[in-house]
Amino acid sequence: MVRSLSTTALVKIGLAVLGIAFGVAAPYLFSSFVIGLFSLALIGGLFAQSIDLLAGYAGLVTLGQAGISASAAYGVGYMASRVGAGLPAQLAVGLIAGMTAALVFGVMAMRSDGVYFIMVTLAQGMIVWGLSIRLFRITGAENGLTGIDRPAMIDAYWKYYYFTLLVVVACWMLLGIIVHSPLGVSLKGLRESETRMRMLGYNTTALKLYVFVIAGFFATLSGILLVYLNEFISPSAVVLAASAIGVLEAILGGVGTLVGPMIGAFVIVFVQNVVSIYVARWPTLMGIVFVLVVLFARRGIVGAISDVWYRRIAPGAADPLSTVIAGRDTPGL
Amino acid sequence: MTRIRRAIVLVSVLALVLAACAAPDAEEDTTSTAAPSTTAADSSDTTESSATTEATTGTGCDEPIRIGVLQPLTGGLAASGTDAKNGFELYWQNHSTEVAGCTIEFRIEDTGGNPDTALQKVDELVGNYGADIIIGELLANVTLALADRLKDNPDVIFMAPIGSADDLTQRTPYPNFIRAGGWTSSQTSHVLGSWAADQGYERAATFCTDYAFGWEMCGGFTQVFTEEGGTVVSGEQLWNPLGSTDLGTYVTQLSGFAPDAVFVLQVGASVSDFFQNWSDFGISGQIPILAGEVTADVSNIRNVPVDQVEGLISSGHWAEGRDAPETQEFVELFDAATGLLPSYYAAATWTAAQYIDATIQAMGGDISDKAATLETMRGLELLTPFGPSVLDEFGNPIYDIYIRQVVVRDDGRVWNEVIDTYENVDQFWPKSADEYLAQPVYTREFQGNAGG
Repeated sequence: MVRSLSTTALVKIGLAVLGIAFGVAAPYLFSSFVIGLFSLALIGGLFAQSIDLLAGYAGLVTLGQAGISASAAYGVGYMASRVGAGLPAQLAVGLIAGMTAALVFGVMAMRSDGVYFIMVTLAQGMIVWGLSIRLFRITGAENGLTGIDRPAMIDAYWKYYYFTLLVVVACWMLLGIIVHSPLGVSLKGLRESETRMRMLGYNTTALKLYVFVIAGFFATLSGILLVYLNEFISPSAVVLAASAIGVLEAILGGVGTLVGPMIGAFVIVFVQNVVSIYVARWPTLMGIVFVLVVLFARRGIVGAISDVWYRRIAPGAADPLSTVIAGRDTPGL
Repeated sequence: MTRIRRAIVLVSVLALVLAACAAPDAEEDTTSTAAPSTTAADSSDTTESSATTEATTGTGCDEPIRIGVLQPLTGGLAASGTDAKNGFELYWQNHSTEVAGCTIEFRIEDTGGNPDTALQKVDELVGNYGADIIIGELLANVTLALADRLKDNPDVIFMAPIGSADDLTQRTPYPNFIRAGGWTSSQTSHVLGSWAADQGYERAATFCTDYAFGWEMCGGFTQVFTEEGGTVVSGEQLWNPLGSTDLGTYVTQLSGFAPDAVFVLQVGASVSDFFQNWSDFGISGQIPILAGEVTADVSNIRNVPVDQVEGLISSGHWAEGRDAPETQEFVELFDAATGLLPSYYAAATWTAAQYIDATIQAMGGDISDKAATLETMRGLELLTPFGPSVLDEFGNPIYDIYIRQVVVRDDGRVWNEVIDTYENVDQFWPKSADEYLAQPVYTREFQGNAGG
């Protein structure tokens, strides 16, 4: 028992070390195009992790997370492109815009759950989309905002990649601490049964607001990273599909885990950008992959791997994931 | 249980595959058919200069000249993007890809209409494929994002024959950007405003889609129409959200205004919805419609019942029914290849290819000096399917702009024939560049109808 547990832990540590080593070595191995995709996938993964904190851990599926990340991106873009302000002001306004959106949306959504939570967050995302199209002076409407420059220190594509890697790994560790903290455990309680949590004396409304704002913080960071990667922001970053793809990435990789959304993001980014070079019908391919995952690996890629691991290789060890979906069917998943 | 699951999977997979096969001609590989050896596999080569061996056949070139094309081939704009792709490919199927001793290769990539994807792909096309020329996207925002990304790269020429955002060649021009084969949104509606005033219309209402392209189209019409004596009251300018499909309420409001004419700019699925409502409410024939170019484009009206669009007046730089050999030759080739009358998307990428062809010939095959190449391209005077085309100092074409009328052809299909021509219209017409650039770009707030 003890021995198999430590094998699992060793494998996990080994994989993490390998992953980071691969991430650091990547610019020496791949072309600038692939490294650009790595940056995009890392940012998408952070975004999907912020969704998964809500959807996978707290059982609150959101379809408006892009509204928060895009608010931050527009904050940066506005200061850079329209005001011509320096980096500190760009970052400050970006953070304030993203966090304000998260706080306001959190207050709006904290009293709902299940399908209603999905609908409220969907509406929130659409509000930001509507504003981005309407407020020409601030957002440039359909044309978007150009003239956003990366900080000179990390301007080169590989430097920006390393910076992204650093931020994403740091966020990942922070998220790991959060989900294993008492707060994280109470989130799982929220997911399993909100009424029971309330009966135990938890203020579930406040709990939802906390987690919404925390998830909003990571979405904000992903929005800021993305706007400097693309040096451009336009309403297509706020469309419903932008939020939905984050949810899909989490489901594909495995909800209720932190590594799952990251894997999902890498799969989707590479199908979208690399497979599409060879296969004109790549959206069909993605559709088939989703159908197969939902039917045969309901806990996503990570869930399927851990299934095999705990059943075949390390039997007897407790599968920490097995309660994720088994407990009850999360609405909307 | 497992059996049921398996059956579900089988059915859904089959359904998806069938759906994929049923769609027209997006099946083929996205790599070009004309280019002799550009398999996609070459491009995954990570080394910078993977000189292909067969390039030595030419006299002027060590390496082929590479063109990267970015269009939305999937998603909501796939039909228009595929038209653009077909137009470009058709040119090279009918012209030699050996120009002045150089081999021309091209690769067409799908953006899905998404700026993120487009930016990644343009990095790939420039960095890995080694593209000398990039041809940009349909959508204004994607085109702007690409122009911004490529502005610091002096080794690449960026052409946008379709994306028509005014400011690309007005207030924020880019040094390596050229709109050969393209247009600015308000360039064509300026002319329609003037034409409407000449018809004696005194008061017009407008009905445009509520986004940058709609503002620019509507603004162009409104400003020139009001400056030439017409009236557009801002309360009679209606704006509908992009993608809205029940336009009945707008149509009843428009008929309530009882204007002398209505300027309409709708895009995509809203076009057929508009004409359906216009006909259902019995307003057809009572209030004349003046349509923006895209609304009357053959790609939009080919799906509308003939009686709803016959006689429709619009203005445009493209008129597939224009009675001139340079236009009809292209229309016949396109019709033979695809079974469709060509939209302006197809004509635009064909013309971009024509510009590239002529430029390489004029440069004797050596386009390594991109500044000189751009200078040459700007100096060309070509007879294109659009008609005669020269470029202004901002890189925007000066065209003949046509007042067009939808006519039913002998074979029952509809197309736009020319009923009036305004010669040599530039993007500032009828103003001078300085006077025009002093005013802001058209938005909902600024439509150019002072005090309207």
